[in-house]
Amino acid sequence: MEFALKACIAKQISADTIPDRNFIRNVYSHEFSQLVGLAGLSGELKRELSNNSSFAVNWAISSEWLPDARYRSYTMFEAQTLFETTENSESGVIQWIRRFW
Amino acid sequence: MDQTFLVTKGQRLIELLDLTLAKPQAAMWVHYPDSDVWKLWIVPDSAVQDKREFYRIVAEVISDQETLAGLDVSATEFIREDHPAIRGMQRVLRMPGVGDAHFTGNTFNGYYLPDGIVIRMDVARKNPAAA
Repeated sequence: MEFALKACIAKQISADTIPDRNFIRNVYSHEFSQLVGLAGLSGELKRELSNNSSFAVNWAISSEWLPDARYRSYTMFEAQTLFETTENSESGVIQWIRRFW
Repeated sequence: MDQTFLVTKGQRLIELLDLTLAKPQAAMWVHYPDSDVWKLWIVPDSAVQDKREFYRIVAEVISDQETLAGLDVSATEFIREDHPAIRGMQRVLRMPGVGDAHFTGNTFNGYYLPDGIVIRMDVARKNPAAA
């Protein structure tokens, strides 16, 4: 998810330009909501969350992961649930981000 | 993040969830320091055990309410009533309505919470023996 959002951000950077320093610093964030904002997708996300309840559920579950949880152990069920929310072919999070990169 | 925003939006969300099947037993904002993110931990009514159902209810409530602008469903986190921090906190605090009790650097039942704001703590309402 992080890489997918960063691909959307990278697409916004024009060739032969030097982006703003703060913008670049913020790109190093791992926080999904912040990356959505940098990719210019906050409005699109709000619309999708309102119109597609399956996507809203998937977005919420996949956003449970934070860098703070990187050393946490997950059960097989938790890992499968997380994978499903991102990779679901109809309303998975990656499927949504893919529209914009 | 502005703590007034957290308290105001958190209390409003809990009041609106009280009108649903998810009627929260406990809710508290928890700060994750590595990512500097605040999440609203919510323990729903025991009638809601499935996190997909819980998040569907929360998403519907948020999308219907202009008063919750700035909040999205990913700011919340489904927490079970047997979470060690919740079990520890319910022994020291009971707040059945909505309020705001701030804490910093506490360990509850062996679970360390750096910063938090309790909006409601009433886990034992259906099972007083658990308190």
